[in-house]
Amino acid sequence: MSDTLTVDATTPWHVVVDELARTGRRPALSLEDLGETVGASAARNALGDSSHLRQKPPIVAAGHQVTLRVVAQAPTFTVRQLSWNSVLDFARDVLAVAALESHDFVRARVFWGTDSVAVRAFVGSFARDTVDVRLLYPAMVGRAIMRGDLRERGAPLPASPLRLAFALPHGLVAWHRWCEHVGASGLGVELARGGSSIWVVPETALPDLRAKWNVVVALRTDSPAPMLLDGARSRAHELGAMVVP
Amino acid sequence: MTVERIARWAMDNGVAVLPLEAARTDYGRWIDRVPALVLGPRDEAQLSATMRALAEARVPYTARGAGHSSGGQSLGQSVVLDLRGIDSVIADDPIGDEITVGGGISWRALIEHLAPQGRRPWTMTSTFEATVGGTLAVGGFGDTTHLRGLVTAGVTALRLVLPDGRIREVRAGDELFEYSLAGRGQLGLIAAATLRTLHRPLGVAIRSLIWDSLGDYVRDMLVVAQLELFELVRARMYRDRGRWVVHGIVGNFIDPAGPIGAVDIEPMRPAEMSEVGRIALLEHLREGDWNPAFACPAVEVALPLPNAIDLWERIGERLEASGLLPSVGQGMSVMLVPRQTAPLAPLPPGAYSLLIAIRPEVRREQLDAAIATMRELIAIALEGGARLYLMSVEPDRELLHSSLAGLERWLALKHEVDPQGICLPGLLGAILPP
Repeated sequence: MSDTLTVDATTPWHVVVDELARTGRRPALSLEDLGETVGASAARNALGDSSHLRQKPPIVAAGHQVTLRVVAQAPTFTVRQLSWNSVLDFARDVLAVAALESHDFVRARVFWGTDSVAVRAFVGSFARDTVDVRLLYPAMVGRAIMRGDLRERGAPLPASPLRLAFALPHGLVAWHRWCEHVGASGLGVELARGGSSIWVVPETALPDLRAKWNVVVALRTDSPAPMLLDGARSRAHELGAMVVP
Repeated sequence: MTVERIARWAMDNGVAVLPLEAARTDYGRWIDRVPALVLGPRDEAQLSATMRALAEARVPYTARGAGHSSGGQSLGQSVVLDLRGIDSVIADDPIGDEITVGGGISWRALIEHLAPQGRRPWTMTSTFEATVGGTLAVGGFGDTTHLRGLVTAGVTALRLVLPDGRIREVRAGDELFEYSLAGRGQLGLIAAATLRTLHRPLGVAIRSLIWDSLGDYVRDMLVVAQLELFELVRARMYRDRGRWVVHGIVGNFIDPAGPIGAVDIEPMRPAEMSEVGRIALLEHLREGDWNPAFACPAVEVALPLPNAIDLWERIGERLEASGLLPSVGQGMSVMLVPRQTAPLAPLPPGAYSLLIAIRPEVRREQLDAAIATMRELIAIALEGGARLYLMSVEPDRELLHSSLAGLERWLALKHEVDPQGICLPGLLGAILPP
């Protein structure tokens, strides 16, 4: 069976996921927003639940068509909820996961408090029904083992008007300073209560990344505040972070 | 032709006949085996002629370099070929970052050749006195393994002398190449090796670190490997107040006369760390000063991750219960090893594994008990999915099958190139057809 699927760029993800599931397969790029079209995902270099793993490009656009890499696995996954008290601690765990190739599902959110940042994530695998957290050092590990299915459509995600990449390890200094700006400027309280998306990805995950590993954050907000976002973008630029188109 | 006639042949053909004494023991120092004859070919042509003469006479032989084996693998009762005379730098290409050297050259001599040019081998063993050929024949681990893998990963070509004396130049993709790396000389002896080099000075800026558990160390090493934070890592594990703790150094290569720079461990979580220091690699990073009064049998196992931590608890518990632990006073070398594609790489499946080298120093009267303990440790490790590296306990058929994915093809090649089974008999002797 082919390990790629070529579809029209206007095809929404839920159609792709349903189609592949019929033959026990799933897309290599698994996204939360199944209402988005594959063409739109390709255009914005979307990141997904397996973007922390080094892999071939999961999605390639050519004209009106898009070729998706597919995996011969059912679209169901098993996860536990983990949380960390800093982005560095989260990044260390994702690096360990990537090194050991131990989990191919990491869906994480970062939350801004008044003077701290926390990360929560669902971590697990498509192919296994257990979640081994040995060698991971989160602040909290949820006891429950949860099963999920890519075909389940959740509520639409808030918009992501700003996506930034911080190179590891030295970009973490910039990250801390940028977080201070987010807190001081008031942007933190404007961000979605459900948190903003965060990934730790290798340089191959996005064009123009400069470091072998990077923290990428996609701010999510229900009510975009253009001035605050412009300020956050400028500050990120000053600090050497990369604004990802 | 008998061994005596081989000796006469050697003298007639200018091949050095060496004293027996120097070849009767190895690094393990617990087997004393006096060979019948020790020959010291000085170059590839002499090695080829010698191996042809031995094949024609059907005289079995063993090869040795520095004799860094731990279970008598470089010892023999028949003829021993001491390859340390084949130690020249054959070709050096600084622009292409490659060097071709005789298989008998020591790593120290090679590094001393490269260092004035600001270069070093792509992969580094920590046993500088070992020979290049000897290390490649077993695989080789060292201070850069967490990034670059086995020492064999830095080899681009070999000149092999096959057991019948024919010379073959082999490269990646050639089966004789693939099955000679970590192939323990079974398919022929390494007369020359072409190695990748790097333009790097040999000063090192380091920090000394302590981790409170093996898990903490492994976890930091995964981060180090992924971020390529440090090129050099050397660590040893000790039992301390009921815990396995790891002491290590991490660092990067610097100009010995230049600024020391930073050794930034921000992404790591050791329990303790020192200030930044500077060392000159050749002077300070030597194999420990092992006491010649003791025997030094060894078990080196590559444990699969993440199971390695639990598996080590079982191995360590048995080690402690055996009473052997005080004999490992210099600690046990531990290192993260990335996946290798070489068919004989002694590594379990998985992106990374954890190599642990247990090298106790024991008195002669403790030897039988120590070897019995080694066997038990091996059994626990293998049951947990580990693979065995350098062995004091030679493997039997079952152990070889469980340790090597490429065993069947290796055996077939062995039968093709050495149908008489005279080249380093022993390792495969138990399972080769008569």
